[in-house]
Amino acid sequence: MSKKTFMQLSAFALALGLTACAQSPTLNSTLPMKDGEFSIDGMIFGLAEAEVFREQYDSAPVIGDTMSALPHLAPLEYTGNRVHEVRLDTFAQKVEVAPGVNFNAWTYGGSVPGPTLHVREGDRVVFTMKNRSDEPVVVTDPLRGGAPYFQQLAANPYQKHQPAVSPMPHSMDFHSGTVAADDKWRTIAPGETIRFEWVANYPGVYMYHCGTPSVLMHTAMGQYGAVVVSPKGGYPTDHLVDHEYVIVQSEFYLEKVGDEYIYDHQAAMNRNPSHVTFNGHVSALIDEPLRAKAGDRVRLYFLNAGPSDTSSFHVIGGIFDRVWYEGNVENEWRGMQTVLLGASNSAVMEFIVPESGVYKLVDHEFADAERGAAGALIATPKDSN
Amino acid sequence: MIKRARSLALCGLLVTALPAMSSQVVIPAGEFVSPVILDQEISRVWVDAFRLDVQPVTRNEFADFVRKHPEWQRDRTPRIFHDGGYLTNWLSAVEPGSAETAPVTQVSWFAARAYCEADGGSLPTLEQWEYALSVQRQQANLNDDDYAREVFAWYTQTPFISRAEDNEAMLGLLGQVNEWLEDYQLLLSNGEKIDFGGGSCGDTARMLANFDAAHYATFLRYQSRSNYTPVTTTSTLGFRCAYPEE
Repeated sequence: MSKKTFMQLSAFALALGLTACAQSPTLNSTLPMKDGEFSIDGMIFGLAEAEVFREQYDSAPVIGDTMSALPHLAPLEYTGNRVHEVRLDTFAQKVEVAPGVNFNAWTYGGSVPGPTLHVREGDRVVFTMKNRSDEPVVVTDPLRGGAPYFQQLAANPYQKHQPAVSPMPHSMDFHSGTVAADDKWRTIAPGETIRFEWVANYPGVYMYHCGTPSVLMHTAMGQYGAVVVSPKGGYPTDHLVDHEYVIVQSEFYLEKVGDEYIYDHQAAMNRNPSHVTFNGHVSALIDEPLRAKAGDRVRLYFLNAGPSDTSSFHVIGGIFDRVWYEGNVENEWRGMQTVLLGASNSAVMEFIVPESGVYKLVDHEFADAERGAAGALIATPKDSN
Repeated sequence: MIKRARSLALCGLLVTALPAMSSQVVIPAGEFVSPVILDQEISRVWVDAFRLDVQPVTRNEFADFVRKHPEWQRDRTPRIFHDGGYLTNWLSAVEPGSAETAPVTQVSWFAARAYCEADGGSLPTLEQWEYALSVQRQQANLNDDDYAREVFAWYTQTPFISRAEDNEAMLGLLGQVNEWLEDYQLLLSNGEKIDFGGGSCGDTARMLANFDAAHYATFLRYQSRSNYTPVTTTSTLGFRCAYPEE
């Protein structure tokens, strides 16, 4: 090969390489980038601006085949990455958080916490939300085209949902998204709809919530839920796990005025909750406990939504074999008795059920457990059906 | 204080027959200390005396207006002046059809302004409205905690819960409808000055003159108001008019 030919070939190869780099950088996602987006370390940034518009819409307020009611987690029945078209409308709903204690909550999708969205690292979410706080929205009759969430809610309607009206400006802040908050998380008035996209760049268990001031009130009124972003390579124990459940801990600050319960701002400022719950009701995981068999490996996706308190989560009679702080496989802990989580912190925790029996789930900050942060897992014998 | 007010049972707003014409009260001149901190200091402004409707404009009154000003009938008003919900809860373009004496709602800021202008007045400014509320709070001896509870209750219960004992003295400023103001977007968003901290999560502390529940409740009203757009029509957003005091 002559020197000249070598140079020509080298230049050609270099050009090829550069072209390849410009056109398809190595992405964490199997989905392509869109115009105007850019990539750093395989992650996708620079998404298009949000759209705010008005639409006539009175159909299912929750759409998305991986949107579930607590404590369920939708399976991801696909390989690689996909686009999720998700709708989660915000509106008022009367919900019960303890026997006889109900209030007109501000909700996403009609429950507190709202539905859990499950995606995979690298997936893209096209999100739509209408602020329907000025209309009564029924969630107890599953609507055509609605998410599996509605069937799950109908099967176990422990919050006794009733439509309510409480017009307020609201917004949506997904902790799982990396965007400019003043664009995507912007506040919309009753009757308006917002649509934007985000890419699940980081795996983990994330909070979503309303970021409209006064944010303490909006979250204390019920506007939060969880997004689970499974790592693209999975967790190392995926093949060993027998059951997966989602638990969201949160506080309520209610006072009785006449026959009704309303938000008690002074209590919220003093961090003195009237109720602390798993999955939005003091009895949610007691009337309908989690279930497993002796010897099973149980995985919990746990989010402490706050709005203001910590959670010291513990399973009485169990030790967490593996804990991934914030749900990221890089953050692995072993052999933990209690997992301390601040407001909007999360963890994926696994434990092996040692024998048949009842395993209480508690916030080991006992003042919170006494206010309702308790549940149970019932284990049947190892060889039972 | 109440100069020309008739004896009105403002509480039973869905059933009580009210006179067709709004009567007004004179809000005396005085100093208004803003409960919300703007420009890093507590502002004190002098508010001249003005007249204020003793109640929000009713559905009947608004029906009279649209009959006289057909351009404001729901089927003739261009969509740039409302979000599509304008008076959709009425029986027809000129008839509410029910609850005639209840406050009119589902009106945009444009429509509310046009009404007051046609009536020789204007929408109250934010300072006028909040000042009137503070004057009436004193008149009614409504203490801070009860005031805060009323505000939070309004925002968190289904609207139109009557609070009979307070409504007359309070002119129905609390507990009936949220009210359009001339400069309702003064704070936090869309105004000439955008506050980079106040438009999203948290960060209310530096705007509160005091950290008690009453100030927080007031801030909630300022904030929720500032997030409406001029075309917004909701089932709990109405208005009343203010007039210069000759």
